[in-house]
Amino acid sequence: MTKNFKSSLILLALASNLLFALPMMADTKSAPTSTMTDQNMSGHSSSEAAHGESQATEITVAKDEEFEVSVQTDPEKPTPNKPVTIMISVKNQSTQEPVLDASVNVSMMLMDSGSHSNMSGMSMDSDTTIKGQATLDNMEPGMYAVTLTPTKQGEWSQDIQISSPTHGETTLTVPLTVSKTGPNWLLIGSVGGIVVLAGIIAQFLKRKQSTVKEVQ
Amino acid sequence: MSQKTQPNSSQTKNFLKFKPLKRFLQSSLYPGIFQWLAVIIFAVIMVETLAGPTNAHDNFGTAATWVLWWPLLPLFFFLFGRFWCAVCPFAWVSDLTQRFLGANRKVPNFLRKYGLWIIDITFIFITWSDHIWGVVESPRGSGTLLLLILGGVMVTAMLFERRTWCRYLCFLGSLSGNYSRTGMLELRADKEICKTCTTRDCYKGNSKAAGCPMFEFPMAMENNANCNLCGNCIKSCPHDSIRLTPRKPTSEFWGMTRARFEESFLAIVIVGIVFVQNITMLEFYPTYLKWAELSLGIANRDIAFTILFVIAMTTPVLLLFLATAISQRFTGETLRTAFARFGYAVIPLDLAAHMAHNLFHLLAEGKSIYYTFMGLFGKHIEGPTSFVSDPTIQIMQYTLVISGTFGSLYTAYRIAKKNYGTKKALSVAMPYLVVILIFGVLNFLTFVVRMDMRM
Ligand code: SF4
Ligand code: SF4
Repeated sequence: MTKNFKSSLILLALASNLLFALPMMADTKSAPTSTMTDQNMSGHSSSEAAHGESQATEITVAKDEEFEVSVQTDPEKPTPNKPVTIMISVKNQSTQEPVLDASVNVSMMLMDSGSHSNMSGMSMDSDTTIKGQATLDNMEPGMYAVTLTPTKQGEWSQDIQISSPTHGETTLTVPLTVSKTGPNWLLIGSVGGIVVLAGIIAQFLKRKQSTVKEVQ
Repeated sequence: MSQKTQPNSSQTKNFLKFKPLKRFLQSSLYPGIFQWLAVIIFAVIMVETLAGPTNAHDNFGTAATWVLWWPLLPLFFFLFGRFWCAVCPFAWVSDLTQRFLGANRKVPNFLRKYGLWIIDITFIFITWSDHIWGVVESPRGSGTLLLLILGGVMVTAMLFERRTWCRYLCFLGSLSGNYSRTGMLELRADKEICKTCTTRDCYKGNSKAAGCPMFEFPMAMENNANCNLCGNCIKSCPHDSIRLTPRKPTSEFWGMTRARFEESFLAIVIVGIVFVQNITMLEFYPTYLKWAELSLGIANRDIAFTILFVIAMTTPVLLLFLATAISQRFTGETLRTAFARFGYAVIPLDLAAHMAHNLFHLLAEGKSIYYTFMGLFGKHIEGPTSFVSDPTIQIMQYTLVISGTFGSLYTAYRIAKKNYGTKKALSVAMPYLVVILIFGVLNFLTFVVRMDMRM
């Protein structure tokens, strides 16, 4: 009975370990399904999001009086320290013609990296503010691309500044979620560790049992 | 011990009279070949969910688990009882771990006594965490859940005898146990033969097979809850006492003599769980949650969900208690006893609603299994994922929910008839019939609106 009680306690301790490990260790917070789900253009409120058939081709579209801008990233789910190409397609809102004379600058800032965010929720270190100028890309007319490398996982904000001598200026803010995609080794290791620990206890119990049998 | 209550027909039609089937079940091929297949697929799922694409849309593990396996599971329970547990890769891991490292300690009493409560709590916790952290729609979440189960299985297999995890701790096992009780197949022993048996090999095991891994003694088995059709007793019984017989769906409840409060409680908790799963996949749910957040004055979505979740979990329990309190006027039994007895009546509806919900995922997203499978080999395929049109699926869902509701209504009536006689049956059952009807209508309504995809 006491032995049973002891093993119950051990089991309970291990089980509760596992249970509490879930929220702390699992990298499972359901991230927004897209990298870009919301946007606004400075001075203008009209915006709409268009979703491709697959989430991998998700495009964010924003409109104002002059521009219609669509933004997509490759890969769709960026990871820390891996280059991500931001593709910005700029069109004339009224004629739907591609705008070819724009200067497009992208500035990425880490808004919230979970445990690392400061009081304002915005980090201003050099590795949490990344800038780059997008250049015209050959993929399609009016498409500008820039490749940046987000340094940390978390919620980033991309300020996309578009200025064209013929159409004027606008700024677009698009969120970007950067998350780890590799296995959660901490979780795997912890479960493995607990299993190994239980294995050691089991061997100890086994040996004790056989000693008792031998004595009897 | 209470008297035998099985339907007589079960003794007449015995599938084991079909020699090739019996030989197969007695051979070492059973359940090995199914297990190996399951283990291989499971290994791929584990690797995919833990280390594959983080986007559910591209992850074969997510598709295989939540679009194929989870929807097919209730159908299996209905047709073949708890057969899944015989081929479950976790059980295979448990047996293997035990063979090499097991201390084979007796199962602690508290697990025997409170195992089902632990399962009840775990089940509720997992459902809640799915909506808070993401399990189904997040490959890593699914992988974490599978990994934790695997860890739990290995730890219990190292410490305790037989399949302690499957019998006392597995939330899926208890779900299978509940659902398979409505099922159409049962394995029992011929009591007349067993009376004369002195060896009890089915329980203890012999050179042909190990003793029942689920701690069952076939002669005393009155329900399907814990028999996983592993075939060990078919192999080990020296007197050819085991029968494998078909039966009418839900008939197990009609003559049930022993009712356990925690089993009934799980059944009624599943009503809430299935309802939450249905509601949260409806397209209007995000708007509804937002509305709830605003009207409750809560800025946090998780807290708002938790409040709704608690309401959804407790309402069915309270309604059943209310029905029990009303029906008590005719029975004079304690609240606990009557609740335990009638809680089982909702299982057919649970099963039907679970099937109906997942039917959508299977039929509307089924092709994603192929697409993601091809993704394993570097082939990116996109295309429509459905096998049949939405209206067809909806008709099937309605049919299932209506059948489940009738199944539950009839079960409640039969339970009342068995325990209180034909005269009193309708008046005793009436409060339960009303509550079941409410559950049925609510479930029906959730299928009127289109659901969101998992992939
Ligand atoms: S099933 Fe077979 S081994 Fe088990 S008690 Fe009956 S006769 Fe004996
Ligand atoms: S009763 Fe027989 S078939 Fe069922 S689990 Fe036990 S040994 Fe396996």
